[in-house]
Amino acid sequence: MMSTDSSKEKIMSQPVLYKPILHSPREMTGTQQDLMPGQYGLAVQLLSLAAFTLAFVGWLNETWLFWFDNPIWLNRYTEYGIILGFGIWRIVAEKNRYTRKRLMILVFIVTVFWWMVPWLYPVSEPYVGFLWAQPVFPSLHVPGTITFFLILATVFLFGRRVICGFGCPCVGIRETVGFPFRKKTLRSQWTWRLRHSKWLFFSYYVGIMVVTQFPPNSWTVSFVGGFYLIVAFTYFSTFFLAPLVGNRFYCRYLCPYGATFGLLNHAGFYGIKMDKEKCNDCQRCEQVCDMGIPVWQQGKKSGRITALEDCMGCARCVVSCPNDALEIQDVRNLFKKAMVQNGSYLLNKGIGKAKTNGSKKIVKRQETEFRKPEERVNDWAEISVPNQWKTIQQQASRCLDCGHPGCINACPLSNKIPQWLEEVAAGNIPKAAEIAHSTSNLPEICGTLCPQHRLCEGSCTKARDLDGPVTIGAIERYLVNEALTKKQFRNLAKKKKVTQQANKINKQVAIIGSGPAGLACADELNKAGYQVTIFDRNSVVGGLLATGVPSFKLDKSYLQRRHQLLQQQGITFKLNFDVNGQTIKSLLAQYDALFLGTGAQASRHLKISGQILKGVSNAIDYLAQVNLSYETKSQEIKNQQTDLLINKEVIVLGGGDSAMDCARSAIRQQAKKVTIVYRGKAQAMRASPKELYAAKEEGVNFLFELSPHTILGESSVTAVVFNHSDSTHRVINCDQLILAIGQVNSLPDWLLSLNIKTDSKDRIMVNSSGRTSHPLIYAGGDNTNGPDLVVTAVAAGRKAAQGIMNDFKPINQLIKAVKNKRSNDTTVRL
Amino acid sequence: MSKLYPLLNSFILVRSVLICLVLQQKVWAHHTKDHLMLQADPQQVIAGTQQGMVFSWSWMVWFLVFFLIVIGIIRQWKK
Repeated sequence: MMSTDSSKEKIMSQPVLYKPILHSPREMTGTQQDLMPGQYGLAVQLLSLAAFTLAFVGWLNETWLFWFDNPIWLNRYTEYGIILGFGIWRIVAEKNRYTRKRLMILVFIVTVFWWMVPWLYPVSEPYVGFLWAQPVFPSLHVPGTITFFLILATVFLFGRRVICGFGCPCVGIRETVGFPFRKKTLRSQWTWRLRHSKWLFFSYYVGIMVVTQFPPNSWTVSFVGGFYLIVAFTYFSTFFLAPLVGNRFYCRYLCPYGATFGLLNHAGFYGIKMDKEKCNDCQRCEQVCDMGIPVWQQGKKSGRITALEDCMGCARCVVSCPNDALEIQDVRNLFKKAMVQNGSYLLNKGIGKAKTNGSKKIVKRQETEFRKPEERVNDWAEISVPNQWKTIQQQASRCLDCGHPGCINACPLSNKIPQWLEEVAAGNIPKAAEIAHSTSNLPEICGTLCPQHRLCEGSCTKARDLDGPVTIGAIERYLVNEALTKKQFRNLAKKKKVTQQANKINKQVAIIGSGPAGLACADELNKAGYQVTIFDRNSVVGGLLATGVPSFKLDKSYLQRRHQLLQQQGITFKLNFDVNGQTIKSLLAQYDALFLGTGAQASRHLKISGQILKGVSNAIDYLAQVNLSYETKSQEIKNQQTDLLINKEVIVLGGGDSAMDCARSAIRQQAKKVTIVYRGKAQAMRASPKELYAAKEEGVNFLFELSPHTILGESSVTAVVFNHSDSTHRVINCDQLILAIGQVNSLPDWLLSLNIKTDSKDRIMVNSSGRTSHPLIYAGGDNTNGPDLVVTAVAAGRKAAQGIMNDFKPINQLIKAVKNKRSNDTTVRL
Repeated sequence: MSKLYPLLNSFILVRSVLICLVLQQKVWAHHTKDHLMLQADPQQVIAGTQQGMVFSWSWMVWFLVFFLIVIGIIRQWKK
């Protein structure tokens, strides 16, 4: 019975387009700083602002206020002391080794050459032109000094990075004190255009270069003095803009020196090249750039970074590229043709080579393993083998934290996947679960049932690489299951319950149907303080999750656990409650709003004869019978084998996940032979690859390009006649025929009595907030979307909950009342 | 370890004294004078201005600087 031709690799294989990932930018886990801008707490931000203020007041005291007699703690040098202090924090906390190395050099140069040497051992340096004061080394910004010319020459050869990246106090304070504000960097199109403002200050600087070559007069004294005042003022005052516009506002928009060096970037040998073939479009390079350069866009367009005038050479884009697609170039490339300054090179260069980067073993995608087919077909337990924590953590750390995460965009719930993956990689399960629950009400169920191959995992940037996408579904399921057993997470839930009780709203909402949409809507409303009651006709919670999904695919204890959890959080459940014309009226009278999460539970029928024969059933009824009846029976009744399909041949029509569920259930009912017959080609089947693989492994046979023509039999089904795509007929014997050809919406009578508007496919019509044409009734899930995924039902439930909350806001209630009054008045006048 | 306490204490004491001494330092930063130029009397600035080194080829250095800047502008324009 077991299939031998199943090849997991064949089914699960990913398109191979690029080379494997060379290094993982998120290799180090924990709460340390990352290349990607992070979110910092208020305390850190306030500390940074305090340090900025001290540096600013230091300058103000020395030049304007004269409150104190220039003590070292409150003068122009105070800034450098602050850079040293915060620099040590940054160096210790920085997790990217190239950036750490760069910071060490930067802080050292600022401390020694900008602070210690001029303070303790001032050396006058030669200059060309006319200056008011003898320049003290290093007078980098004063035109005509030796340092000025030397730095220009170095920038010409090696790029602006030699000063802005490794030796500028302006960058120094913004990379250290201003670091918590990186996330605020402006990245819109118009803020990118605004960067040209720096050319105004550059022109002024060029004027200074010219006038300082001539003997001064009162006009040029004001001209030069004005320049230094403007530069100093903009330099210090923009500290306070950092919380709003990011830490590099001055460098991007105002720095005349940076603009000059930027032009030398263009004139000289510096450049950043992109290998378009290697780029996997993760767009990390754009997100890590504090200068807001659209690195990916420019690289993809022209194979190089064209906005060199803005590049200050931090190389974050280069070292954050997982595929080494970016490469820095300078004068050395003229002589060393083999030198490639890409991410791996920069991360491994010099002393203290990275232990993991470059040379590390590539962690490939590791699928969740299934139990052996011989073993699992004899029971109804889940087929997947529980993952080990180490594997999960390792797999989570494979996330690249892309600039524009495809996983979030592909998820109907916009789950914050990279965020919880980072927490899992850091070992912080409760935090990860908290993030997962912030956007999803049933994350463990979505993690188990979602077709990740065409949602989050299908859109994962790593899906293009040989090592495969991140196992998002398996990790989500694991982390929530783990968290729900942890005391820390349960305490969090209790804390939330206390808050909910404190914010109790005197509004009652009835949820009809305990499927994913109903549960999500109820959970959201309950969290907001509403009093929620869920009604369901079944004796178990979950809707189709309970009746339509076999337990070998979804462990039903998950649903029981959710049931308990929601009950503990204050939701009332009324099961075995059949809604009819009478009860719906009383519910409408009793509750302030109703949410219909009734699903789409009618089966699609074939237009062929013989469907009333014994042995013919549809997938929903068959699976409900299996899930609610067979599974729940005691072992003693099971042993009587009343429901078993021993020695029976079963045909399942269809090619989706339901067809796989039916076929695999029939295998467990000991059918002699189970065949899935699909009208299209194998490639067109909608079933998830993992379901298809499991079905093949368990011995299900497949026939393709066969459409049912007639069902044969007198009282019971005996065979089915199929039309083949080559216009021939084929008769296949069977004792049981299961139609798994999809579901349709079907409106119950009580719903029709409410005059709720529906479309031609019997789907309930709702507005953008999930409200139906009835002012008190909301709906969401399969009854509004048509048969769809669990995740879309959860999203619809959340949307309706939000709609209910908005409609119950006092201001909206008032508007509604006024509108009603007006329409009533109009009616009266008419 | 306890024998080391006096040594440790004296180290902390000495370090504190040194920090206080450093913080007591009064100094005028080397680039502050530029920032004060606009506040000063222009005649005073003119009188205090000194001419730096004079080379017959110094114009060549400046020519090179401006040449590179112009090249940079052109290349930036044409990017």
